[in-house]
Amino acid sequence: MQNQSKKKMVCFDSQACLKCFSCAIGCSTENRVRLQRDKNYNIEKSVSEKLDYYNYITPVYSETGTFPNVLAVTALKHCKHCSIPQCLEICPTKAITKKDSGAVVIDEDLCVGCQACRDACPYDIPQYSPETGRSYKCILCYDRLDAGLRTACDVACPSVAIFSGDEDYVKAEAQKRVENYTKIFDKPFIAYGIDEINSQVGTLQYITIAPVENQDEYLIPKSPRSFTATARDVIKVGGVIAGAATLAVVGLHARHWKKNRENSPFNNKEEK
Amino acid sequence: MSSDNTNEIRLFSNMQIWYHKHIIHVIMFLIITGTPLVSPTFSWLAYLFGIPFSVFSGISATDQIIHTGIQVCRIVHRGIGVVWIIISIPFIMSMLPKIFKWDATPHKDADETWMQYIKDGVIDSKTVYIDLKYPKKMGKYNIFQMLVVWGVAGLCILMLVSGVLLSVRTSLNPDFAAILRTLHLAGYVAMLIFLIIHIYLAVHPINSAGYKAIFKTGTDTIEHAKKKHPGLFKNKS
Repeated sequence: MQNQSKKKMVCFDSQACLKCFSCAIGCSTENRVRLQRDKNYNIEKSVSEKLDYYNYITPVYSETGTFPNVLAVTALKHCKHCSIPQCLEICPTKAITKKDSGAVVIDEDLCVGCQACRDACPYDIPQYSPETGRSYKCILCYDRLDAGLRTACDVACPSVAIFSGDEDYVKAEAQKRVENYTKIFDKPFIAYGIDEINSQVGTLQYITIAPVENQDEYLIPKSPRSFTATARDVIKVGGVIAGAATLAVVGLHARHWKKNRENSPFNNKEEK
Repeated sequence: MSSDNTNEIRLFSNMQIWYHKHIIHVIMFLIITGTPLVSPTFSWLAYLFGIPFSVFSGISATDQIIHTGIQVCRIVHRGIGVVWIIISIPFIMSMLPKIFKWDATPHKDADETWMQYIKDGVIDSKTVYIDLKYPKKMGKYNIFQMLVVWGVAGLCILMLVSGVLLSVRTSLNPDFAAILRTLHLAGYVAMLIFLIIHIYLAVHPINSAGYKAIFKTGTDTIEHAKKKHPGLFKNKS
């Protein structure tokens, strides 16, 4: 793995996944170590507390098809680190930032727990903890990637189903795998997130390799949209147009009044 | 509507004057504390709220001051919402018994069709605001004011209900909470647009008598009212 470009990327290859979920355990472990590093937790406390909001990867199981042609799919639900992060756009405290690596990170010390990020996320990712009053999601192990290390989920994965590093390296490896799978299984595969998905999401820094026909089961829909983000854009544009139109009408009426008030009974001082 | 003396006609009750004054303060505080919660574009407003608290808490970083300001806004916004509910109770109680006789409720002549009533209302409004002349039939409110009164009443209910529910959003379905947040935002924008029009027309010389009535006396002279609101002096069905 080279350390040349600033942009980092992680890829989950659904076909190489053994379903051991070491990634989820590795993620949780790394976050507990971060508590020791940043929050003055001792080892015992960081291990014994439940801290389920620090599990940034959630396996989601589903079945598709009809018996006997049933396909069992295990998707990994996690932040995909969009190039146009709607969570960042909506966060009122600016607690969400985009690192140079492309990682979209919630600063938990600045989060007020309003859950606007969750409302705006097209993938429904940020999880709110009533215990802490804050929202949490994957941080793309930005601290590890910046230090030239692999992400915790990558390190934990025994089958290289998750691999991370410089964007160029991950993209090239993902595209190579997509070509192989397409040839072997004789059906199209996708490295979801390399190419722009739509105008609300952009490209992704945490990409997924999966069969095109099972995108929905792998929680990588063709064109994900958030109701809140879409409605917000409509209200923003509509509000600006309506506000400008209202001010224009008011201005025109004021001009009309100024021009014609001499003959109006309302211009009489006694009116007031 | 009643007459206090022979020369004056009462347009607004003391309760209406009291509620209108208080609702101005309430809406003003709701807007300045709610705006920073809409978007990080308005974080400068949150920063202003955070500064006084930063003096006592010792924080100095801009992002921490914004964080504190947002928390202040959230608390004050909810508190003011509760104040709004409390002051609305006596107002609603006083208005409910006469709601169907209220001047903001359409009252047409017995021999008049609704189509004719609406047409006359539009013509009367044009006469006042475009031709700048006295209307022929208009009562206390013109037809557009009636629409706006009921629209704003509905908007206020929407804002209060969605706001109260959002304050307990952790108990709600996240998708439902997202819809409530969107409705609250849309209501906020609609309220701003209404306020631009309302404030402009309120301070306009055409409505100077009404301005005086709602803020001071509650009354208008009969001589003026007969010219500006002739419909007030007709028996309606």
